[in-house]
Amino acid sequence: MMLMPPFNLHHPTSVEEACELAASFLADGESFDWVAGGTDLLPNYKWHINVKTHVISLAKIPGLDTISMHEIGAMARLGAITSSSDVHPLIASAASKVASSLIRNNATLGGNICLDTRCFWFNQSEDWRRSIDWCHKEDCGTGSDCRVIPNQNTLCVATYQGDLAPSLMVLGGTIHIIGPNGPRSLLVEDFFQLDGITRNVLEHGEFVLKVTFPEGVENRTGSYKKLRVRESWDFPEAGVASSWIEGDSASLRIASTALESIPRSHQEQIEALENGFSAEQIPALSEAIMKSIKPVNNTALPPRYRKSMVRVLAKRSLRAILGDE
Amino acid sequence: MTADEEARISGFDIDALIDGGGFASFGHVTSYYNGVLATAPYELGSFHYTGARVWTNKPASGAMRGHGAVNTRCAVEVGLDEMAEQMQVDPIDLRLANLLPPHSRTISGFRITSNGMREALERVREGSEWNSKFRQMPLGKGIGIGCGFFISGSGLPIHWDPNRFPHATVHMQIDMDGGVTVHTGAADIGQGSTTAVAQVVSEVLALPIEMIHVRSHESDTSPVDLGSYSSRVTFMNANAAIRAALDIREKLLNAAWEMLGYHPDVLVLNDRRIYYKHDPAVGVSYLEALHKAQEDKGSLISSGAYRSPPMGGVHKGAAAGLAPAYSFSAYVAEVDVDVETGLVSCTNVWAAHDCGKALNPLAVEGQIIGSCHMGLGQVLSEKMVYGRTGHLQNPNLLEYKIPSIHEMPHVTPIIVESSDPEGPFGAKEAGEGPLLPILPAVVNAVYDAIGVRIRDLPLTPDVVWKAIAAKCKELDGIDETDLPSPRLVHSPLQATLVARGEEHKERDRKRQRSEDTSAYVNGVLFGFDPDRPLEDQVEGWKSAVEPVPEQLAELGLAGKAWLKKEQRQMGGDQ
Repeated sequence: MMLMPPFNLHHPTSVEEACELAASFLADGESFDWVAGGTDLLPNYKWHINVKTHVISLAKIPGLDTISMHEIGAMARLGAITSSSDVHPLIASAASKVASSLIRNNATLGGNICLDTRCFWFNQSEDWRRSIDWCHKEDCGTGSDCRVIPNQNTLCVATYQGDLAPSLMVLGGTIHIIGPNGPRSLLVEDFFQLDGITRNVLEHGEFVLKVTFPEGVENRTGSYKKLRVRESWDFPEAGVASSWIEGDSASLRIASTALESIPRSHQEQIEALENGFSAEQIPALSEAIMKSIKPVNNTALPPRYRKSMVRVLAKRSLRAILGDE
Repeated sequence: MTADEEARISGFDIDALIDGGGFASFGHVTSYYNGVLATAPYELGSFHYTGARVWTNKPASGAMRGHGAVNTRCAVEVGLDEMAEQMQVDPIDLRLANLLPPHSRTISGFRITSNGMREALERVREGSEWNSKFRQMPLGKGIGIGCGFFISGSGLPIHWDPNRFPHATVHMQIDMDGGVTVHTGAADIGQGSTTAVAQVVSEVLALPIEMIHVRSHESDTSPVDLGSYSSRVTFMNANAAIRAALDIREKLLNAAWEMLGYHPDVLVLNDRRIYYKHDPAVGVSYLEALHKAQEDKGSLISSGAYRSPPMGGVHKGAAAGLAPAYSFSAYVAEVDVDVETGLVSCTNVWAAHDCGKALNPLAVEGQIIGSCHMGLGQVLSEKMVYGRTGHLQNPNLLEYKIPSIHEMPHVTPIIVESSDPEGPFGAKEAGEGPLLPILPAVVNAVYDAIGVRIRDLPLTPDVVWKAIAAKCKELDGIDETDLPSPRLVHSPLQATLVARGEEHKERDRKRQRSEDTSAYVNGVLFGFDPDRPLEDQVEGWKSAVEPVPEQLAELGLAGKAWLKKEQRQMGGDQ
């Protein structure tokens, strides 16, 4: 049940070779996955979740593990990011809260961004899932319904539980993608796309190269608050990141994660602020952010509680960037 | 739970409904344990228990550390905390003034031998600086107390007639080289039972431990052992080993008697030498005596066994929880509660456990710390979640949340040694009892921190947050951070309790040192004569075996479940 299913592992040594490999699989109609650190993909494989015939590893491609203030490569290990003094402190702090130190030593930035969505009807062994007649996210050809919100088999509401995305968003990160059809780049907040199955804008054959940050990012003060039962291993049950350039209300950015199928930017609630950002605005702003979120019941803690905690996390994150913790 | 005007605990009424999953397993034992293991270490005016274990469409369940005692113990200790709150007294003083003394009998007829409960309570009170913290800390910081007692080996073996066969047997053999081979069936599952056997043999024969070779869990050669359950292995197996070793010791001393001409009564066996007590220069070496003993006989072989003495009353459930000795423990836990998120973190635990005599103090401390970890999971985060389809939703170690190193508090293990007359060199169990008090200690500490009683375990953040939110609503919608912390102003009862506690301390000291050997049974505190049966002293006293109609008129949950089963079996129509 927990045995690793067989697959063909490929080790391209350059980005070009990786793209060619992907193109040839696409042309032959062969299924494949990308693997970076493997700490998300391989446990899912062991549970026989969406196993593909081929797996292309990015590990042997040199130069993908840059760690600096303005650029972090997709293959940069979270452990290295955590202990780096070059990256933005917000990224280092958010990375330090991912899973456990053992996992962080292998997990990567790219893998964390592209983390598969999670759901307690889905992240189960094959026998377990068969006994509930599968679910919409992996229906094994049965056309199964969603188990979280039944009687609709169009939307997957599995939860995105990546820790880094909101921090990358509030620092104005740009994500760089490459594939057989060439490179493209877009803002991190535009990268994610509903629903829990689609997850993001990556076309089949594309992979994440790096994330870059704009000039002046070093002037931003940021804070990420994570809700979890245990201080190690646990995925976030809710997470809120915020950042701003001190004294500049217009620069305030807030994003949340682990509440819906994609991480969310809360620019709308910030724009609704009338008198700029100050300590007095925090309760109303936190409340507005909480109201904009609709978690569902598919993680360890109940959705009503997680929703209420968004207010607390937002409040604490905003207080932290105001230097009032 | 009730108390009288002198703050004596006049009664426990316990109703336990146990979700046992499919199949019976140890279910009947669990049902009894839930009741009988909730009585001591307190002297009770009355005790009533109904329990039912219900078959449900869930996986089969079995015994876990602290079998059957954990949940009701938590309820009892939290109840006592509430009772102390109502009486406006210190919960430790309430306990100290209601303890059973050493060499007494509990309300359910258990024979208490050594009892270090009082010392355990006193030492955690002192270690934790309880008097300057309890009900005095700011919102979000709390301290709580919990006690417990546990069987040290089940008095009734699970396999065979207890009145005929021993519970544990150990074989021992010494050849010409002087090395001792000990055969035992006790399986060391990491708790160090093999070490304990080697230690006691080495002590009796005055040999270095390197000369003792324990061959355990070898089914070809070892005697039958009942298994590692009910915290029995060290207690029973080491007792059997002592008896086997004493037999060999006698053979060695008799050989020395022949060689030296001194009777074994005046011979000393010490460090591989047997010598005359009044002139140590006169003696023989261990090997010389051994070879003498082996002349014409070959290897020295002996077999030792242990069987617990006959015990127990005649009422329903009297046989459950009988043990040759009982361990006692008292824990104080300190917690931090985040009032906005409901996250509880246990920061410090002072854990005093009376294990009679710590044969292996390192192992005892390990058991105490390990118990804290396991119990913390039960009280804070571990939960089997069943979804609407009846599936276990968290069948993996990511979602079944066993505490990590980060959740582990700083534990100060305190070993209390009451030296049990029945145990091997005074030892009692330390494997399961240390788990019991951590649950109520944390629950009571959470109350001390936020002033809200939570009646559901585990105290996951959502449960705590919901209780805090309800309390805030009740207090006209105040902010969580403005919750009032509970405070204690002593009532006149406090002085009564302190005085009685002091008096009982002296009583216990005398009984522990056998200066006072009079009989003591549960009820003496309420003015009964321990030497006459209660039936003769109280009108209408009965040890109920079958429920009487009045009791059936007001059924608890368990009673209803029981009635339902009866009706189904009888073909009733309800």
